[in-house]
Amino acid sequence: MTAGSRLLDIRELTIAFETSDSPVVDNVSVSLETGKVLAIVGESGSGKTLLARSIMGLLPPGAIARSGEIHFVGQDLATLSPQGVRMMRGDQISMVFQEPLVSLNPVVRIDRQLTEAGLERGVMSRPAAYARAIELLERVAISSPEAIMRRFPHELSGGMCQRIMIAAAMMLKPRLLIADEPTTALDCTVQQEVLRVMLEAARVDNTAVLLISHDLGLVAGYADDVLVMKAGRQVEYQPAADLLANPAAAYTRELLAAATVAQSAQAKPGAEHTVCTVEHVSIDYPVRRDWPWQPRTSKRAVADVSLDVRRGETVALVGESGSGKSSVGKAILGLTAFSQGRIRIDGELIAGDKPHINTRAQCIFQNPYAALSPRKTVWQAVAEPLQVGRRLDAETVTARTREMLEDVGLVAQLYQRLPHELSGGQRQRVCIARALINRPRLVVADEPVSALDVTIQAQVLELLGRLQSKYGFGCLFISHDLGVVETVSTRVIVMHNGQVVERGDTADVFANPQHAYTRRLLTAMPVLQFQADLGYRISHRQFSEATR
Amino acid sequence: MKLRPNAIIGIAGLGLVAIVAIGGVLVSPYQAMETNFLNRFATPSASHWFGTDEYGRDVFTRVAVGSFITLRVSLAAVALAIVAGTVTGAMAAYFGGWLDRAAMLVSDSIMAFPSLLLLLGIMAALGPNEWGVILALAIAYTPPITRVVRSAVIAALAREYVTSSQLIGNGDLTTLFRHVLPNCITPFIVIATSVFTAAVLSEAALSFLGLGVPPPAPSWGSMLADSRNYLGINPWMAIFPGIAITVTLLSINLVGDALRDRFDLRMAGGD
Repeated sequence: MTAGSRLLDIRELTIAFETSDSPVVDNVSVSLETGKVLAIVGESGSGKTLLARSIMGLLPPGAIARSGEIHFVGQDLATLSPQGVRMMRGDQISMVFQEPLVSLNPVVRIDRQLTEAGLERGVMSRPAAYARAIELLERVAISSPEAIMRRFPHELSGGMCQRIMIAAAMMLKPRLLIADEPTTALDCTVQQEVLRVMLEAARVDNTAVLLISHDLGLVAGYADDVLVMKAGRQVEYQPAADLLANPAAAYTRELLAAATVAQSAQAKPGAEHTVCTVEHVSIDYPVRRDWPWQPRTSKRAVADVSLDVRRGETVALVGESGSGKSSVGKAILGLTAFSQGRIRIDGELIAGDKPHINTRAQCIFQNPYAALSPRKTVWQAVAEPLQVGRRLDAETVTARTREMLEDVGLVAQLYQRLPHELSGGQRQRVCIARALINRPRLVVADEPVSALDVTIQAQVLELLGRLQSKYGFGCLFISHDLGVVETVSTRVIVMHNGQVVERGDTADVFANPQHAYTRRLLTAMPVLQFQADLGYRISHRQFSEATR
Repeated sequence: MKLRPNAIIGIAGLGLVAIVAIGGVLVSPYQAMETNFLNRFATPSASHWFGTDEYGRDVFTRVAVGSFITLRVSLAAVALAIVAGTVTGAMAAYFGGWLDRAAMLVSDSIMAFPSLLLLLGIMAALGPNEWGVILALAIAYTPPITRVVRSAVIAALAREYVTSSQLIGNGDLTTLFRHVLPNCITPFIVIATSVFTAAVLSEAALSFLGLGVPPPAPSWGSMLADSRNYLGINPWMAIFPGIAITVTLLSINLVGDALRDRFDLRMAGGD
């Protein structure tokens, strides 16, 4: 095959930082034909983003392409002038980023953001640009595009903003669209939808798509070819169907296994002691008044929620952002007041009128980067809870801290490190150690693995399960990720718009959902299954609408 | 930890000021207020390094003694402002509500006055003496520190490590002083150094206007004021106090920059 028939042809590309000899992208060759979809999959640090940025000529300062060539439409990009590269961006190649709210300019209305690229280059008249923008908004499945054009980004949801970013990227009918984790920041119910409209929008203009993701299970169903990268190296590169049916590399199998639905956790017999009960709790947030003489009003975030968590079991609280699931978690932790109902932690009643903290309930946060004080070492962070409000002698503190750190699998070399010197998985282990060192009865885990790479997620979940059998705490697992929920929980509670819409044993709910919202959640999630002779298969759950 | 060139220049500058101040007092054979009408307006020479003024007083000795007064007054004022500003700013941000509103109302009211006008007003009320100057400067420079600390604390409060500290049972003050404030150090250093330089400059301005430490005690500002009438006769009288002020301010800013880089976790780790 000649280079001319390919849209993008990367040959033996090696990228390294000036200060280091080990390359971050190591001898990668990959090609993409017009109108096709190539997925580049790998965890953070695998070099997938740098590879994509090198095509746009957007390498960060200090990173340089050491060797190799990038041909685009038969032309070597290295021979282009900076001016030529700039013209190429947007015109021929455009990009969609991970964070839609950060990528859109917050003070500019949608219509200007969309038409800017066309007008700036003088390739479109104002009415033509407007018409094209409307057409694209319709293509990304936005209803009433004219109204949306007058809005500002902050008035729209994350999913809407990402659709608009896709529309903006498609304005000039680029030949190549690079999408860097385009759905990672979105709710699971809209992830699939956004991915689908993006690829459809691209197909209409015969635009090729380079899709970068850490989630092999999500993208493999849409891509023609898949390149799997690890530590800058090309691990596996073949058509998606072949990769699923017959993954060659051990690492690919590991990624697929991490995304495969595992057997549901089983309720442990004899776990009858209840560590947390929530009875008919409602939470209201005050609405800000413009003037002091206006009446006080409030918005109901959570309405009449009841649940209980028993010793040693994991109860999942599922819902999309805004469903009120995190508010319930905060109320249990005593971080927010609630207006009605009762909450008991380990038998002790928690007052609802003002925040009231009970240290027998602890929390594992979503973002391990924010949950650790940046100036406290690992040791200080884990030992601190032991020193609050009582006098333990130094030997006890040292012994218990060391035991806890060993329990979460952190080696002694890390004890004096600061959080920014640790990886995401290591930080989450520190957070877990800090939460568990005082042996709480209840742990509220608020999206504890959402910020982590897929393979690290599996390790952290395994660790949590192991510590739970060892210490026997009850766990309220708040998540939007149904795959994770199915793996870890024995019971599941589904929340929607502040209300519980469904509850039951995890296996029952996943096999036979009663409520329409639960069914929507479950059908949105692709299921990766392994069959001995066929390899991996991606399917979607189907439910008959007959029930209820 | 390697020092950047800027930090070295800054530290050298402050060292020079310190050497002149201490050395001048120890080495100089003259007294700061010792007049000699036979040797007025002398140009710099071996016996009078910086020359003499209109009363024949040794300018070198006066610059040295003046530096003690200027730095003592501004340091004391800035220390007061830092303590008051940090405590009010941090409490206002952490507890919010009426405390926040009251603190901001007072701060905004003080900041509404041009700082020199405010200083003049306070000094007129308190009368020109050293404690008056310190108090006036402290009052004028507390609000900017309050505001900066408040906004830094509000930003830090949104981070989950604050919640984490509350959850393990730490009280409000422990959380505030052990977990929140240490992470606000970078903007704090920037505002503290800029307030320090402003205080040095304001002290000089007050003395220049005759409202600072009362004469005949030497101060850089009052020395500049005295030299105004004799610029044609002996410009050295203005040059040396001027250089002293410039070198001090520049050095404080450079050292402040270096401190900020030092306390920025990522930048300090970077090299």
